[in-house]
Amino acid sequence: MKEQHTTKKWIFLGATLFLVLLLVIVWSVTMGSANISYLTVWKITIWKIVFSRIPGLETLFDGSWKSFEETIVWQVRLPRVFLAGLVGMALASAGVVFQGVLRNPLADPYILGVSSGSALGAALVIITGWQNSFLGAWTLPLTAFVTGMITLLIVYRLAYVGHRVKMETILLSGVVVQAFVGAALSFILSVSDERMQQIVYWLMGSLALTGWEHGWVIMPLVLTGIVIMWLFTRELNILALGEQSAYHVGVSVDRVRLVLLVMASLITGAAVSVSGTIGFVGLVVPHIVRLIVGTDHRVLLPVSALTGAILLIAADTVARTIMEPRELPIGVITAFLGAPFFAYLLRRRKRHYF
Amino acid sequence: MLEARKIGKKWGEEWVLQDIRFSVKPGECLGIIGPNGSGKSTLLKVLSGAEKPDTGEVLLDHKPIRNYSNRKLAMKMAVLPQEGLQPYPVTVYDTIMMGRYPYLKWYQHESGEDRRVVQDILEETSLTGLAYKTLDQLSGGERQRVAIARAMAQQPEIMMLDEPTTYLDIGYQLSILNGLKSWQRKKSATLIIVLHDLNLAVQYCDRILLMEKGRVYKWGSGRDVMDASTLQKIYGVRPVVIEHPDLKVPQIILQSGLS
Repeated sequence: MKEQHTTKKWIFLGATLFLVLLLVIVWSVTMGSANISYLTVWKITIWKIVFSRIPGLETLFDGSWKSFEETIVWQVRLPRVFLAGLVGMALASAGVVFQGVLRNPLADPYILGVSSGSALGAALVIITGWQNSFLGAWTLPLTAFVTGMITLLIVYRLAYVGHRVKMETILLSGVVVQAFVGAALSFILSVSDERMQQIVYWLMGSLALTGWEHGWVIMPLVLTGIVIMWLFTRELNILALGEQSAYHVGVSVDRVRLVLLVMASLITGAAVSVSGTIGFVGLVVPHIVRLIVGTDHRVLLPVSALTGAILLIAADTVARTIMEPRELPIGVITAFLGAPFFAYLLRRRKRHYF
Repeated sequence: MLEARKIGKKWGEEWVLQDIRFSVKPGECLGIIGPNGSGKSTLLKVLSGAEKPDTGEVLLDHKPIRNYSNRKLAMKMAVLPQEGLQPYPVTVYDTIMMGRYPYLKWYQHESGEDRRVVQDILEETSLTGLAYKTLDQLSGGERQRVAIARAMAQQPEIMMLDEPTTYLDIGYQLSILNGLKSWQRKKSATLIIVLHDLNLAVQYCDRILLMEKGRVYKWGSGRDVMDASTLQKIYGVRPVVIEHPDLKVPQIILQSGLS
């Protein structure tokens, strides 16, 4: 009886979240400096997604909008919402996994140095002016992705002591590597006078990359990563009660941990490579969701992914509209929202864990 | 069924276990005792497969333990390490259900059978009333009971426990050991318990393994081990050994040495 009750509850919660996501998307696509009415926005969207793809139907639709409106909705706003959703999803689910595996409520997707590594790579590309060199528009995100992964490998290698990776060691080596990479980054900033603005902007996080292709490329990475992590959530629940006792109920602790950390880092790297370092989403979303759905990772992970998408789309909408026509870095918005919320959580936390 | 063959274990350059040989029969209860640092916990880690021995090997049903997969091993053997369960906000019911992990394939959900096993164990261990409390709301003793219940849900042939009663009051110590014993009798399972308390060890265990400096000092019945001169040699105190009036097993009484 209890089982059925909870299943119904999760379906209801899932449906509610999807509805909220849809509403946020509608709101986000409608907001913007170019004044386009709700109706036009949605006529364009539906026409683009449905009618223009079915031969013979395109003429049935009332195509009474201007071509600049179509460009703004279809080439600027929608891809941006799509990207924000993916990045939010990636950061929030990586946050759940890092907090679970490292058994540290303060862990976030950036704790193992992935973001600093990516940022360093990006800064190098910007300062050398190679943004559009060998891989065209892809140079920056790809370099960021690769350098992030290299940093992760170094952190792992450092934490690998006597055949196994210990959790305390991995956190420490993360701190050590970040300190070094951070110094390298500061050095680059201090010698890079005129490009500094651009690097700093990237560091603060931004979803201003236009067009659909970035989203399409990270989407398979992010979704596969989340699905694979979700397959290991039963193990994650067991790990939360202690690694030794998890080993003795039959969990291959080392292997599970490796898969989870690599997947979480992979989707973090994917997110950072298109959006820079957007803080607090991966830290705060899992905490908020845990307050609502509890600590079962099988529920926590998917719900956090949806909530992350909602939150980041909303934050990005605020970032680009609140000081029109200027656009704020989205990292500023998430930090303004996230830091006080986190402080509040710290103060009111009564339980021992989380 | 479980056999230790010339086990040796090094931490760095130092041998912490040397030439350990003994075997445990099905249905037997073995108590491992010895002073601090004599290698009791390390021995349990090696026996349970959590640490690999540097020499010798552990055989489970005549097969080296390293040849078992984690899951296969967890079906045969449940282990309660000293660290116990973290006070994490997960319900008692869900925690015990984790004991079914080795029986579930990655794509499988818990079946009615699994739920029945958990339900039975909840009743046997009198945890039904706490089933929907979370671990962080329980006391240390209650969490220990949950840990044992989870181990029972693995339906193992052998259960190993590393000082399951330390830090608990005498009421809890007895109720935990009694629970383990009645489970053991019902399932004719094997128990291997590291204990600090010599009197309890002799009361509950069929055989005692007395460790000293990484070696087996004595392996035998309670009467063989609970001998004033042996204990004086190992622990450096001279206790008074008397017979338990009801259970007819040797018990010790400490004397301060002041007079």
